[in-house]
Amino acid sequence: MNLIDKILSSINSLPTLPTIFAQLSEAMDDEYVANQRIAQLISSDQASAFKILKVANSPLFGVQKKIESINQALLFLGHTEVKNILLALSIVKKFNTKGDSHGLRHIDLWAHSIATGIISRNLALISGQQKVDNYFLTGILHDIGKLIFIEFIPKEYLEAVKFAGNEKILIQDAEKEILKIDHAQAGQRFAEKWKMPQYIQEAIQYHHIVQTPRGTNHLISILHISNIIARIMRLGYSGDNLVPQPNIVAWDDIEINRGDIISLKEKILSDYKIAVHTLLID
Amino acid sequence: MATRVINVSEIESGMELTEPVKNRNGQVLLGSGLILEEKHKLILKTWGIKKISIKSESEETASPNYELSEEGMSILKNRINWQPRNYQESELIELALIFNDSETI
Repeated sequence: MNLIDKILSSINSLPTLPTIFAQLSEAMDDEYVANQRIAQLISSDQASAFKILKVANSPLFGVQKKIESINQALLFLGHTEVKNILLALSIVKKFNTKGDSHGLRHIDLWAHSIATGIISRNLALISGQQKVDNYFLTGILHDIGKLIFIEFIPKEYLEAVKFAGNEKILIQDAEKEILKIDHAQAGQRFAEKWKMPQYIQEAIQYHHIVQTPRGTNHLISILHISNIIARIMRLGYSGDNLVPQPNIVAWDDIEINRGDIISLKEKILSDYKIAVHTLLID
Repeated sequence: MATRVINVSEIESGMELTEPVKNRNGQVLLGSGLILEEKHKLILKTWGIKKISIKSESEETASPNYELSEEGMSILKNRINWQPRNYQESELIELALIFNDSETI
């Protein structure tokens, strides 16, 4: 079996989403299901419910009042955001095995992804996006393909990481060279398998090149730039030390005023510290 | 005459439009030569207009130079091998210089 087939069949053999998430998605898609029922579903998993509240109360979401129950979280943040927080938590939990024998540690990669999620949400807000509830999740998921590689082809992936370091090239270029598939493609396959919404699949697949066959959109443009900012601020580690130049298309797509990026610095750092703690350490 | 394109949010009272603002159907909403006022910010935003073209005082602001000095670029050379093309990218470079010596956290 060649490497690409091995990766793809490993993705296919992954168990699907946790049952609670499937039940929840179904309930949330049905507009006649009351918040009460959704809150019940989430609360049936005490550990998840507790963590959701912790994340929901973090400054990232900017809710002034303390959220004390899942019911309140649904009210203040909306269905999508609560569902996205749960999905982010499930995936981090699923792929957060310890160990550092792969040259690229899970924890550093997660830190990079969490940073990207936080920056995305903050950039979305500052650039005047009306609907911001998918930005954090998409940031968290954008590099999921790298976790797939570490999980299923650790030896080959270590080779790619080393190759990137020696040749001073971006990790995605090293992946293409060594593995013949990059993490953006592998990540999209995973997202498809887990039946994630189309826009998330697309954002994962196109987060480096920005332009999809159907043009571009704010989610991808902001994700693209946030990924680069996370690298610049050295929040976590994503496989190489380089900072690529953003695709000019992404700048044209979003409205960022002079001074906005610099002014976000402190907020990003404080949101990041709290989120890493909540999602990875506690 | 030098012109430059700015975001609607950057409008300052007294700026002069150098191109008419049109809606999707090509209908002119504001004519060329109009002197902008603070209220136009909101009006243009309501129409969904994001960028406008205005008269620029100096040639310098017409095509600003964002390039970083050789010294600046050499500090970043292990990580960044490109020159900024707009103010957003020059802020990225500024950020890179701030975080250049910090450890990964």
